[in-house]
Amino acid sequence: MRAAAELDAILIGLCPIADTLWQAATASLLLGAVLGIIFRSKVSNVAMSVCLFAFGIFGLVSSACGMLRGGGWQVDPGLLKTLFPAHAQSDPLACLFIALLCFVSCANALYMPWYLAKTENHTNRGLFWISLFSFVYAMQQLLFCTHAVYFLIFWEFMSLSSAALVVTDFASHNAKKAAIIYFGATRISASFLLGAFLWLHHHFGSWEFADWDLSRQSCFAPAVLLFIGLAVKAGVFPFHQWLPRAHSEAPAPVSAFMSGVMVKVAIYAVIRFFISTPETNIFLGYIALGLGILSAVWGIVFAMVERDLKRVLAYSTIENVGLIMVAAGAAIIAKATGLMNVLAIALAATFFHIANHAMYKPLLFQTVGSVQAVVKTRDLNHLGGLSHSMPITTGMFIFGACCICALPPLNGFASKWTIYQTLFQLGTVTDTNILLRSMAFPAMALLSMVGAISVATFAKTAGLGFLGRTRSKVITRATDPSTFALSGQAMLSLTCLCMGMFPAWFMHIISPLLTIGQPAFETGPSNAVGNSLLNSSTATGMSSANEIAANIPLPPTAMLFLGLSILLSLMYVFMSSRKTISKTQPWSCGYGFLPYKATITSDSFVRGFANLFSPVLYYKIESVIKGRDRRHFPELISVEVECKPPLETSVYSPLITGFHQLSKTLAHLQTANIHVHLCYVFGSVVLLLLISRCL
Amino acid sequence: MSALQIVGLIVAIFAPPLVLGCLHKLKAGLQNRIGAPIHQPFLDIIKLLRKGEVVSEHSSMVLHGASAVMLATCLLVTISVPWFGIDNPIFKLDIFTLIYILVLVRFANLLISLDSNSAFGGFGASREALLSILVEPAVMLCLASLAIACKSVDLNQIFSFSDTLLSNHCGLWILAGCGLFLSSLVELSRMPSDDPTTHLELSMVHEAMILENSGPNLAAVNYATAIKLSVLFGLSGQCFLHAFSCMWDFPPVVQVMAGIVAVAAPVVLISVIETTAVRLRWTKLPEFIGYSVGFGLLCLLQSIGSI
Repeated sequence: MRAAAELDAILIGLCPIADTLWQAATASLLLGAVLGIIFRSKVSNVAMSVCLFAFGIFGLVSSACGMLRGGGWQVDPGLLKTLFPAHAQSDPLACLFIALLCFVSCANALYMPWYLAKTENHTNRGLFWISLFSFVYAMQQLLFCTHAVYFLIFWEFMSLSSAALVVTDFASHNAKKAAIIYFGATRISASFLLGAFLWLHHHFGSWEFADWDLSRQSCFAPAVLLFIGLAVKAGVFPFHQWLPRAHSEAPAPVSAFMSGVMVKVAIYAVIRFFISTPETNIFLGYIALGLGILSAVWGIVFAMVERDLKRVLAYSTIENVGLIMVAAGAAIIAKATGLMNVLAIALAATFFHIANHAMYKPLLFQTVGSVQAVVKTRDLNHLGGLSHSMPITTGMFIFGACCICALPPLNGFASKWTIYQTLFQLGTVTDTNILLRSMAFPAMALLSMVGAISVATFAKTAGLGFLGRTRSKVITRATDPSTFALSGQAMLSLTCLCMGMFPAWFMHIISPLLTIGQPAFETGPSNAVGNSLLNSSTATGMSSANEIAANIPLPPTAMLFLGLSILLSLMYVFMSSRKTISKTQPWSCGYGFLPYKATITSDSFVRGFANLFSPVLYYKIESVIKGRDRRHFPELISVEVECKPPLETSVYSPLITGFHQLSKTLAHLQTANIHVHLCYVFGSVVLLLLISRCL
Repeated sequence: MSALQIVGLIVAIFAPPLVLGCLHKLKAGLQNRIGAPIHQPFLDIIKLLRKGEVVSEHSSMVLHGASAVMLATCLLVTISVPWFGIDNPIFKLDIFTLIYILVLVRFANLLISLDSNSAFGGFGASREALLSILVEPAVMLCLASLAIACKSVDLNQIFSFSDTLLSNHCGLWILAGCGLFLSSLVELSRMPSDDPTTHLELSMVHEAMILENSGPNLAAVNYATAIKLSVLFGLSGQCFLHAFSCMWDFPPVVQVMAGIVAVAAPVVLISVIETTAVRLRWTKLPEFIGYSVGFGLLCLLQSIGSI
């Protein structure tokens, strides 16, 4: 805790210049965009990365200051303020997400020069950078927005620029298809949001978020519309189709941004609209909890059978968003039923998991991006043996996999433990009803199954993709990325480790946020500026944060675990120094050398699993063995695997085909000859006459 | 730290291979063999530690790192879980941490098997992963429903005899014991799901995963497996013991003795099962695991209803 206090002291010292720092951050973003416009495709990747890094580092410091003093800074300096009149405020909640955005920007900025140098072939560099900067700018503006119209504008800005980023490699057919699907998803999301905003504006007569009270019974329908609009963007269960496609086709740093930050922006809006408000509606909590569990299960089941490295990560994003939604749903329920202690834990779990996912997912995307940049494939069936040629990348991936599987001394476990604790508390607090109890505990069992599947998934991915035998010549020639690019990953993994080993630090940072849902706390400008650390709600936040942090069993576990492992490794080194280690072929029943095709592949690894989950997966394996004596001397063996997500085949594609049919039919109405059009005119005149008669 | 706790610590670290030795001896007796002495697992471990190593040419640092991690985590589990009735004061372990530490053991084991890139290892890993996915909810349900009835997730508190909230839940303890026992059969690759004594059969699970380990490496993994076996069987034995203690009041001295009996009971049971039963067909296994999940659900119903 002493180190945390010292850090606080440094940040408090920096508080007076937080505004200036934030202006510098915004300025470096704009500078980047302007440079991109001026130099077009001749712009230097390094210079642009420096701009992004500057934004990240300035923004990180100023948002830390903002969190500490309970309020923010002037969001739009100078000219921008006249362009966008006062619509924005910064409070600790926004500052947390800004900090995540800036952190991911830093890590990506370190990684990008190497990655782009390796992969740039068909890309328009200027366009890429302009889209990236506007994407980041839109995200940071969204986090500050308090005005519905501006929110919608920046929401569209974010969607468009990210769609442009997905299609960076526009020679690729898959990228184009992915971008179209992603673009469609953003349309759906925006139309739901638009509907909700118009409805709410009609109801309350104001575009300011602060004037809206979504907990009223009459506002349930727009609240659901709003929730759906945000859920589409977050990739929650029935609306997640765009996620694996867009994440896998975008360049790795962009996937890191999208998965690490963009889906969190949608979750931020959920927290902003439904938890940090004075009142809330309990049904939305049930919906969020239910959908959260469904997406966790759904996402991870598909991640398990997937054999494209990046799609595995994308599906696991769906799972993690599900986990976050479970915590957020529990927070809404706790708030609506007045369980303030549970609310604090639930909020801690939500923020903790959001932050952790924003650390390890970019790490994983960067390592996978390095693999793709060097080896040019993401197919698990063709990878393998990277541990010999890219040892550091392999180590980083396994570390990230340990984090995402929630293995004990790391941060993923800390937040998953908090989620379990939330559900446990939700169920056991004495005055809760039986419905809540019978939801919370089966949810725990399902989450444990999700955990087991994610371990299987990432063990498969690490084991078949990175360990084992080298399956192609490209892999033997591969090398780790440059030290500079690796430093971004090192930064991310170090933070993962620290957040796992010292969860008290993170809890200390977010302590002002743990009271946002409690009635005593008022959101709005009055609280946004100049609050001291010592006001009462912050103090309760501190105490509950300390309590939660003290209960997380990691620090002692981690210490003991580390001690034991170091002891064992020393013993091992001591013993093996006197031993011979000989290398040989793995056991193959005396057949001698087996070609790599005889070893296990991703598809054979998941076969048992896929058979078991066939009602959800529609997984088909067809193998053909041909030859005169096909039993003993097959001449041709071929295996084809087909996996159709049932939701797409049986819900979405009929919907889309139906829509096509309908538009075709309607097109006939429009493209008729002049006689038919005259007929329409006549008909409408008659109709109008009839109506006027009736009135 | 009292003398009893120090004894407990020593027992926790050194007893697991002896439990395994007892199991082997008992099985041999039931099969009309004399069998190896019960300290044979120790001798095996010492023998392995003195040998050199032969590793697969495809394997990397992960092989050695992961087996050290496996042993370290298992040692951590055995000194912190009250599996034979004496709780260790080193630090408190709750049910979620226990489950995820066991997950860490499994993750390390899966990496070991995939690292050597033998076809056997891969398929063993695939089977282990599938079984663990099915078993995980059962373990979670059993432990969580005990925690619900106790209103605390702390393992030491759940398994201490002093807890008044749990002392009248005889049925819950029996159900949880059954659920834990059945799921540990699967988790430990014992008889109905896997035959630990066969080698090189195409459907083996655990043995296939550690096929390429040798020397000190294999010793570490074997020790870790012995610990996992003792802890999981010990916990299910403890559940049955608690069920009995709901009916009769034990004096504290008897409780310590009974703790040893509680570890012995599942060992006897498993040796009888492994002598009389045959392994289930692979396709029948999900059905078998269904029983342990069923016990878990019954536990949950009981504990939800009883708060």
